[in-house]
Amino acid sequence: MNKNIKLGAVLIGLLVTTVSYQASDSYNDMVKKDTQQFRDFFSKKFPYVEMTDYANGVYALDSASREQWEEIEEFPPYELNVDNGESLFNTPFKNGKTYADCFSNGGIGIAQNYPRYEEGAKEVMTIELAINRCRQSNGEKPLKYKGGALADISAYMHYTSRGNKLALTVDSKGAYAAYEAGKKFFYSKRGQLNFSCADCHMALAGQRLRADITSPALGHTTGFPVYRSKWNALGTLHRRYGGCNKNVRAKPFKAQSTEYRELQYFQTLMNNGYELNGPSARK
Amino acid sequence: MNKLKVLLLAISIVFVGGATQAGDKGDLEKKLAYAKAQYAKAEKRGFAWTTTPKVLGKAKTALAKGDLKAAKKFIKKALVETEASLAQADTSDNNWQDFVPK
Repeated sequence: MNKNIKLGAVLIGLLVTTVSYQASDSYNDMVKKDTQQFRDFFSKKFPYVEMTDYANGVYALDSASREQWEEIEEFPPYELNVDNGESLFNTPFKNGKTYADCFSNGGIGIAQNYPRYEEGAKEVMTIELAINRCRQSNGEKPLKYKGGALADISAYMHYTSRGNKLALTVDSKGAYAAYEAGKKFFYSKRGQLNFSCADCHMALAGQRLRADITSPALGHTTGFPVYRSKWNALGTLHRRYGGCNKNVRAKPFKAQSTEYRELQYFQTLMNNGYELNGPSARK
Repeated sequence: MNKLKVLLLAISIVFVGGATQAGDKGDLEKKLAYAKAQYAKAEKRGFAWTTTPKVLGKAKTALAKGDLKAAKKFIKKALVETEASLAQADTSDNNWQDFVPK
């Protein structure tokens, strides 16, 4: 009798594991399908652009801007930010620990694993949020999310991850819900001007909006944080999200809000397989 | 007697006009409060516009100054904006997938 009960428990355990594995497999499959559809849109719209070149944003589409950008990248304006970021990263907290203690591999070459869905906290974790959580768990005050010291630390961590391919997964119902929420945000129209992210960065990608050319959404997140000429400073992706929302006269969300983290999760999943190339310079 | 009749008529016009204006002001204050509540709803749903607080501010200032014509104009604009914001929120909830290119 005991033997039969034990055998039954093992069989049930195997069945649950198989079903769970199949469910998580299907979430990743659904995201892969979306990703292919997303990329097909751009390959049809811009048949002359190499798929890997989308990591360079608008410079994949406009040769004149690209020429200027390549000259800027010879003496990158974010170099000092990376140096400062490295110094901050290696400076111990008051308790003697450092950022390296909070991250796998000491925080070096790991940016391609972010953002990711954390099952325990049931939230999307970005590298910037992880930096501040590290600070707070070591008795330090959090840094502001849009620029400054936090952007410099993020720039350093991304710099050490340059060339690494994005390798995110969607392994649970919670992760898929976060992905879908980000996807919904991306395609929802907002603001007085009634634009969605997709309007400017898919339908109107490559077109002129005032003096600028809108960048394609594919590859969007790979180069962040960016030194933007308009800011005359290094800034994070969430700073850019806020600016974009304001441009269409939508009240922006706070940097590292749930909404912006989920949007970043969706956008980064669309870039899965792309090499990280941040930090970078942008207009 | 005629002068008295004219005086009484003038007083009643002022009284009725003043009461109407007070009624208008009270009505506009209620509408402004409603517009603010609608803005708060749009904000909670994540679809507030940056332009609406400015319009609400102008309505409040106009009401405070007693410029009911201007207040009415700004309140109407605020109500149009908040209605549109909430419509965007509804479209997002119900139809966002329609905007995904196939």
